[in-house]
Amino acid sequence: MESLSQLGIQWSLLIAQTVNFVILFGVLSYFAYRPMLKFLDERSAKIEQGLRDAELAKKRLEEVAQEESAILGNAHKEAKDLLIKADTVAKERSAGILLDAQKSADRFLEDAKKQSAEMTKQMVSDAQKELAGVVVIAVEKIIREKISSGSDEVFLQKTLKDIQL
Amino acid sequence: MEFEISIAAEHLFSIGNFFVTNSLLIGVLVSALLIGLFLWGVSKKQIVPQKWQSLLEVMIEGALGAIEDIMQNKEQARKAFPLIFTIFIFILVSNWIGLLPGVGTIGLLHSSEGHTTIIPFLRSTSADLNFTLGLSLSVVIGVQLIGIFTLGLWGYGKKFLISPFHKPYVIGTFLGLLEIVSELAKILSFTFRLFGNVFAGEVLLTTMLHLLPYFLPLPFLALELLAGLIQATVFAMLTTVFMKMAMTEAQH
Repeated sequence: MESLSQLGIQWSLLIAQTVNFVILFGVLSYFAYRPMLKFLDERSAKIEQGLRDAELAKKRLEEVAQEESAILGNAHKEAKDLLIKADTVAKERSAGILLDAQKSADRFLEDAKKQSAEMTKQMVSDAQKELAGVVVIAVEKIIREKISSGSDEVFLQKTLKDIQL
Repeated sequence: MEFEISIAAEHLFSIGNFFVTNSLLIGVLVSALLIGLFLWGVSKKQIVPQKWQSLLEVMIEGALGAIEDIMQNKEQARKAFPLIFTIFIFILVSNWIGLLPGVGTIGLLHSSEGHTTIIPFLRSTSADLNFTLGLSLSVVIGVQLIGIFTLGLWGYGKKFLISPFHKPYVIGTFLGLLEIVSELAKILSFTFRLFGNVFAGEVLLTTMLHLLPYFLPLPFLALELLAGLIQATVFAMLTTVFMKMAMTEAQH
């Protein structure tokens, strides 16, 4: 104990220094380190979150760009296809129309031909009939005049019947 | 007028029965300064740190990183951080404040036996055995408590009390006793390492100052600046290592 006090060690001072340090330790850990560490943790979490978000946004953007180009490419292709299809359809249809027109024209022509042939026939037969009537009348007239002045009435009647039949 | 080298911190005044020494005074002042600075830094904290706050963050994160490196365990480092960092910053600041001009030379005139000596108002806290012994005791006792809380009373006690009837037999028991001695030795080595370095530095500086007041003390001042940092680091690092050892299960 003698040597301790020669070195300046005193219980009261030892305790005072220790208490001083313990108070410093307590105050700093409770009021300084704890909020500071919490704050630093929060901030690093926030930064991490931000980085993650940025990464996500970048990825999403890339995806969107990809999607966009895919959609555009698709649309392009579809438009091309559509055009080609429309073209073929139009061609087909015009060919069909042409064919139809040809057909109906042919049919018309044929009909007309037929009709005209029929009409001709009819006309010929009508003319035949009329001509026959006229000939008969004319013959009758001529013959009647002859008969009234002459004979052969029986023969005449018979001839007329032959002609008429 | 002479200067006197005193191993013991000098008494300045007394409050009742209690003598206040210059080293206790500086201890209280440094504590107040640190509390003020830290609380100021914490109270004005912002997401984007400004000057003092960013310095504070650099110190805290640097220290935490160093402790994590030693402990290899994030959670343990978090738990140990407050004590270790407080030790470091307190020893560092009080060491450096002891180097300020006037700290060792301005003081009360004191006459005894015909000599007039100066009793400095302020003396680095670490140049007082009361402080270094108190700190060592706190650390060593604290380390035992941490060991007990982490491993349980029996788990931690296994380190010291080893049955003589198992594998290494009496040797193991003897090693356990040596562990107890080494814990006690830690107190002494902590106490006298810090005290010896800081006190020697102050004596060196005072001597140089009295030999030649100009230029001669400068290199020694720079050296002491470094020594103050080194001593603070050494104390904190050793505390970290001892804590880690206490938290680790004894291997037999």
